[in-house]
Amino acid sequence: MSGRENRSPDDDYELVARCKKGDLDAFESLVIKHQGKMLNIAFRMVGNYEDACEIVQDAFLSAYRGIGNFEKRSRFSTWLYTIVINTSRNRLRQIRSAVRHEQFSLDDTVATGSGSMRVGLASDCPSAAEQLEKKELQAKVQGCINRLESEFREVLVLRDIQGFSYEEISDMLKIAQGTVKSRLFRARENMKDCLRKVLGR
Amino acid sequence: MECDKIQELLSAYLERTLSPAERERMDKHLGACPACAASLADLEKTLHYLHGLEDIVPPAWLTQQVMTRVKEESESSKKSLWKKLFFPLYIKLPLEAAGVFLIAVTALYVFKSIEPEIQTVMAPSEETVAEYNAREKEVAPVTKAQKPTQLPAVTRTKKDETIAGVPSLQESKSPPAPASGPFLYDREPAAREKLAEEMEAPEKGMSKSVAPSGAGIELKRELAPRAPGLAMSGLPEKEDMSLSFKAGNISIARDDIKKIFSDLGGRLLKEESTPGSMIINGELASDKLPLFMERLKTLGYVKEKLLPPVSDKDRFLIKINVSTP
Repeated sequence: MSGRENRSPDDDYELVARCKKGDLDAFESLVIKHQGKMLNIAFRMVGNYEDACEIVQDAFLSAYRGIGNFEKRSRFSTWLYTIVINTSRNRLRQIRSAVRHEQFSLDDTVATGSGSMRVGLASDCPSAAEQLEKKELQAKVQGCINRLESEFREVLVLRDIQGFSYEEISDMLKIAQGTVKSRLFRARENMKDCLRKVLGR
Repeated sequence: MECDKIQELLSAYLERTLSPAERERMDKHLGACPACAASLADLEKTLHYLHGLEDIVPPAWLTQQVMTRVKEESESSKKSLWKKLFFPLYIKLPLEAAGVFLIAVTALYVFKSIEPEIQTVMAPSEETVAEYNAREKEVAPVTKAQKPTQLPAVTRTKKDETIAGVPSLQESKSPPAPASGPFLYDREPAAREKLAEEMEAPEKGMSKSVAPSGAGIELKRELAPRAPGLAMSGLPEKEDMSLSFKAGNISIARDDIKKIFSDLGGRLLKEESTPGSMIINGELASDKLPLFMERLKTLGYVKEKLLPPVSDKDRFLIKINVSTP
């Protein structure tokens, strides 16, 4: 889990000011600084490394275009992560519509709530879950994330993987903290159900 | 506490955001309810798996790739700014406005340059005739550039008002001009007197050896080449002076011209009649030329096309192209 956002004054503001004057080196500094977190958010959102790299590039380009509109009401990183989440959301929509056109989903969407879940990727040997290689386990966890509705996925990624505070998530997603909490509850419930099936517990 | 409520509070329990009292009640329930305890364990495990996800590392080329695209964007936005400048309202409109202004200024300049000619149309011709006679030595006293189509009417009417009646002064029995015609022979005495005065002038001026370019003749330098007169063909001997004469009735004008020649001691040499015009060649004593011109002018619109050369020839060959205006 990544460290939480520190609450110190945003030291990105100076770089942002230079970017607004057309300083590309300043922008590059911001890219270097934030691309890791950007890529991780994108990757957990779409579950594909290549797509995530594309998303990060698109998001940075959007940020560059819109940096003139950035105001110091929020941290620059918060603003940047909002962009990458929105870009990921759009990409997911594209991927899903493409998948729908190609074939019927291998697995039906995870039913929300307490309903049953049909999971196609159920482990061949559930009893061997503990011996799964770390990579495999991680892939399965990611597989469960991928089955979440994107509104649940967002809060789960931001809270349980990236470790942002409810307040920050509320800022990024432009939703109330209560909504963040209720979505997170549902997301975790779905995740729990999914993992139980996938990992055979 | 009911299990549903417990389920909802599990997250808060794990995140330790519950009040001590709530936490205590949760602990009590979880100890007594294996289902809820299992749920808590599952949630813990789930969060454990999620927290355990490893960060992925961005590829080395990512920064470079991002910056390449950003630079392309930066350049294209500069270009589009340039484009914008030349698009609708920024520079294009001022350019168009400047173009229109330039055209307007040019048009005004052209108009100004031809304006004097237009003004001369309004000037009474007899005035300039008199002026010229007074200043006989001036080479080109009257540079009138009147439009050939308008001029006859303008000059004729002016003349008619003042110097008509010359034929009667010359004791001629010229044929009566049609009322609508250009020549009005019956004039008031006052006009006749004025004309007589004017007629004197060229005579005095004749003592000079320089042959005046026809007293009172309106020189049409600019427009001469465009004059409809045809030319000097038909005569073996080149005439000394070529005139274009506009008259309402060609045959009457012919008679008038013939009379002027005979009055001044000259003679008609040749007549060539073509539809709508007539070419008359005549011979005249050179000292009679100014008077001839003056009288011709009273009959209609005269335009001199070939200036009489400075010569001491005593006989002038004159070619007159008579046509209707």
